[in-house]
Amino acid sequence: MGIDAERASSSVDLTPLEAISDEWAPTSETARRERRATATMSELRAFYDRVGPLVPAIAAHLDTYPIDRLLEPREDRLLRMAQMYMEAAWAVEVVGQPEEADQVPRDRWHITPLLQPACWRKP
Amino acid sequence: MSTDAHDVLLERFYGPDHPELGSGPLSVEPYISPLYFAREQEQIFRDAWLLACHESEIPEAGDYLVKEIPIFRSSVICVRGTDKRIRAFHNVCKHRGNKVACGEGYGSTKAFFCRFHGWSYALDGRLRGVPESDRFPGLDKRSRGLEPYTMDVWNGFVFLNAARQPAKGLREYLGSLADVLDPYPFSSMAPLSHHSATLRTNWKVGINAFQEAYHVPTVHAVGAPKIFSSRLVAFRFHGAHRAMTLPIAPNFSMFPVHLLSSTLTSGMSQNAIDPSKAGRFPGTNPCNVPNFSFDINVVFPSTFIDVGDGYYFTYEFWPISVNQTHFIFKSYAPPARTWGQRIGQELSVIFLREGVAEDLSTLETTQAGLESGALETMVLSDQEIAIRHQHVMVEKALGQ
Repeated sequence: MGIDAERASSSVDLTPLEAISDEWAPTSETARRERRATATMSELRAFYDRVGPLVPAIAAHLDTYPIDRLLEPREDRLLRMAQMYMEAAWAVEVVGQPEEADQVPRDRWHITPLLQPACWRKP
Repeated sequence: MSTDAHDVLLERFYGPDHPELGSGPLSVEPYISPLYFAREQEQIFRDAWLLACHESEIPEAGDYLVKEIPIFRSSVICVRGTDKRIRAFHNVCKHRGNKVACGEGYGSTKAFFCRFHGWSYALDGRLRGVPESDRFPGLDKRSRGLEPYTMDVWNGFVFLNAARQPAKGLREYLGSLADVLDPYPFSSMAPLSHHSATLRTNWKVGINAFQEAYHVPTVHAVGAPKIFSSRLVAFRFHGAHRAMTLPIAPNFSMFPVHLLSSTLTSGMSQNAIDPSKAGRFPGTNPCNVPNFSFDINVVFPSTFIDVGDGYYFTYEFWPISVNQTHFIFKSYAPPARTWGQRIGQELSVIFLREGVAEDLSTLETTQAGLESGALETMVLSDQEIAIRHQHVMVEKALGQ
């Protein structure tokens, strides 16, 4: 880890986010979409307000870890939470409700998991 | 180009330059007639190159993808061998016909096993193991390998063809459309998302919805308001294939999450905010349209390969019957070099997934309307010239 990166990642304390990671860090796109669709707007907004200001710090912290290796569990949860933030932001900023009405319904809009690059596959 | 020049481009009419495409209303019969569909099946799809995947989706030896081709009741395995070559096989055990790979989608394996009696096949299709093989006197294992399916590769894209001996090779079939796209660095990019839906609609109703921008202000009023122009420009016709360009709206506006994502990575919405991050990709925007967003490239009959600077995406329309279609949407981007970039790319996944879900929302109600008998013809604006071109090319392929 370089000195600048260390400074960037240590300038914001991300530890408090651990408390909400059980609820807000689903590990797949399908699970994140489902989490968003089944949450209330007040839940989504509270998560959005809490995590939004920290997304740049999460990115800076994770950027101190190599991309060609799987993250440690704590960092992996931060990644998932930042991805979940993007889902929540879509509901809060764009749609104004958890899901948009004029779309093909999500139970018919199937997400197929991709194969991971070799470097992320478990031995 | 000045704003005035851009306005001139957006105001241009394209029909007058293409009298061969006609100008009258189009019959709805091609969208609702089972007889018409049967002719399309035999005279178009029986010998057509259809996109299956990009090689980046199955990067390692043993990675495979199962594709269903409903109109020919075929299931096809595209698999990367230990020699790194990609091959395509019928997903059919050569013993008594069971599948050797179950389900649709991706997998990774050392060999294919038939669950019925345990016959096994190597990644290059050779029959490897037959339980109790001494009970098959005279069995010639060499003639019982997996049956190859006709395939070819262009620029990393794996295309399938139902014909054993297609009239044209893939590159010849793609013609001058491929000349434009040859330099695009598809193989330096990686898959980002895969979404699919089976819809009660004719395959051409689906295709038509993705080759006009007239619907942008209405269909995308929620997911992409004020981002894209509602006019396509620079229509290019390449034989039966076609291409066109979608500009960003000159006075676009974005949501805060797009701005956040644009600080982390490039992509469709991020490029509108900061095109310098992605830079110009070769093979895009051949007519130098200002405020470029992406090019729509339609490979006849039913494949789209749409390219932007630093991202591309594909649509596959797999006909099932006259009013049923399986639709697959995949997006690709340069592999993230940092975890922060990967976070930014998540917005691209959502933006595209939600936007295409909006595009799909009108297809089944449109099909129902066409089947209702309420209208015998549909009327097209000059902006819907790509739909007219598809119609004329289908008719031509049917000998009409």
